[in-house]
Amino acid sequence: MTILEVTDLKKSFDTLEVLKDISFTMQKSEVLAIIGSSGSGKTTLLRVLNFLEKADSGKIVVAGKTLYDCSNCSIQDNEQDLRKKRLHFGLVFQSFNLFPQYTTLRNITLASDLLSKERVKQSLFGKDTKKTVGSKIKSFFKGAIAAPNLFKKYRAELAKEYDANRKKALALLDRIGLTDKVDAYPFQLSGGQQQRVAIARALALEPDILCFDEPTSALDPELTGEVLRVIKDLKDYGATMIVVTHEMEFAREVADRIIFMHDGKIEEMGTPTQVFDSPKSLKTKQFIAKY
Amino acid sequence: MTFLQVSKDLLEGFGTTLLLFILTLILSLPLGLIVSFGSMSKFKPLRWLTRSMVWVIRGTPLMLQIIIVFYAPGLLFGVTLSKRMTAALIAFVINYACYFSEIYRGGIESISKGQYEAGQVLGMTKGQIFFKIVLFQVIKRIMAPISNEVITLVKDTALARVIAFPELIMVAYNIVAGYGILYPLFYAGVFYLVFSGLLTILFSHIEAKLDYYR
Repeated sequence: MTILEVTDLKKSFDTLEVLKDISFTMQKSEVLAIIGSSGSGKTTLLRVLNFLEKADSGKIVVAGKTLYDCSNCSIQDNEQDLRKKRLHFGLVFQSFNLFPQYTTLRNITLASDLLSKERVKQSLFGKDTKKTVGSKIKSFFKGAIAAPNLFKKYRAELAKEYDANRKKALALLDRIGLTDKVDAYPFQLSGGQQQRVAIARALALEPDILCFDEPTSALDPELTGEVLRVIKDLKDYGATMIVVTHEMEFAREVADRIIFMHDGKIEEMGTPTQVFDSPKSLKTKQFIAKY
Repeated sequence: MTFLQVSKDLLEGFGTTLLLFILTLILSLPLGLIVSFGSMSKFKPLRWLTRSMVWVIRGTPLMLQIIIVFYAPGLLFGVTLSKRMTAALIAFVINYACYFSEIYRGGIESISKGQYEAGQVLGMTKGQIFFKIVLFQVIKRIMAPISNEVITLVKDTALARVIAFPELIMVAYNIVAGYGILYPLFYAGVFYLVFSGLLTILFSHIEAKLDYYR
């Protein structure tokens, strides 16, 4: 089943063309590794897919749903739509970007809890068509006054959701092997542990596609192994993943398909054996020879 | 005048000083945040306007601002601010909000882009990112400069004397002038000293509390 379809994606920063007509598709549970030298547009591609940057043109379709189409590119997405679209993707950053003031567990549950709150509020107090703070407060109090029990129900349902989120987070922590760090703060964790928590945080929202932006580049060499093991483990669970990486051995071992990017274009695409052992393009050959 | 009477008078003066101090903080701390949003706005006219206002307020003496707030309405429109407290408070709140806004701006701009992006890819709204992620980190970072400003405010309240607002220094000076005794001035100094000492302890306590993460 095709989960991701990217067609003719383009992105420029001022006059610099960073992405030139990127097209590829992904199947569900496929692991795609993107390799290439720095400045080739790998990171920008991930950022465009996660709607951190807006593509200039092209089309992004996830699970049959068109998230981005250039015929509408002049139309500004409102924040609400953009958020929904972002939730199809998860992104693990090179520099982890954990929230330093929260514990491991809270880092993982925060976003789910906020979404739960929104969901419960909407189901109990009706939809907010206007999204101003004032109207939110108004509808909230209207609901509370109209039916005092509604507020109780709200609290109860929220507690139930929070509890479910917590259990899910604990299960994820178990999966990444950090059960003993539930209440630790990010500064108390090693880089590898922080990155594993960041992976769990992205997984908690159950994205269709999980993206990794050089997940081990900021780590000491002896810490990369534990992070790569977690990614490998996710593959066994059937996660669909795009991994931008400089770890060639890892790409060869884990990826189903490799994309080699050069100068904003997909220079070569194929199975690891094809790309690594018998590359067609001269540039691919030169790049791989360096490793 | 007995020591007891002097103490009673000074305590009363300190009461008005304290009231001005507390009300100024309560109003200027949140107002400063709003001003900082203005000075970081992507809408250029608003940013320009806010930054000019901050420039004017920070670039002129607070004493002058107090005088203007107190006398200008009467001279310009014939309406006088009936209460000296109101005039002093308005001047102090505007002045301190501008100083606080610059501290907030520095703090907010020091938070890495990665924190915002992490919130974005997790589907959070701008408001959620600001209030759940950024603000708390900002508070931790600006605690030291804020405590600096707060302690300065304790002593700046004495400037309200220029419009005959009955704060501590004015009360002390009136005793000195009326009874020919000098010690109430030093006595008043002790009030400031003790109070700012207490604030220093309070702030180091808060900073220690916020030190649970790095």
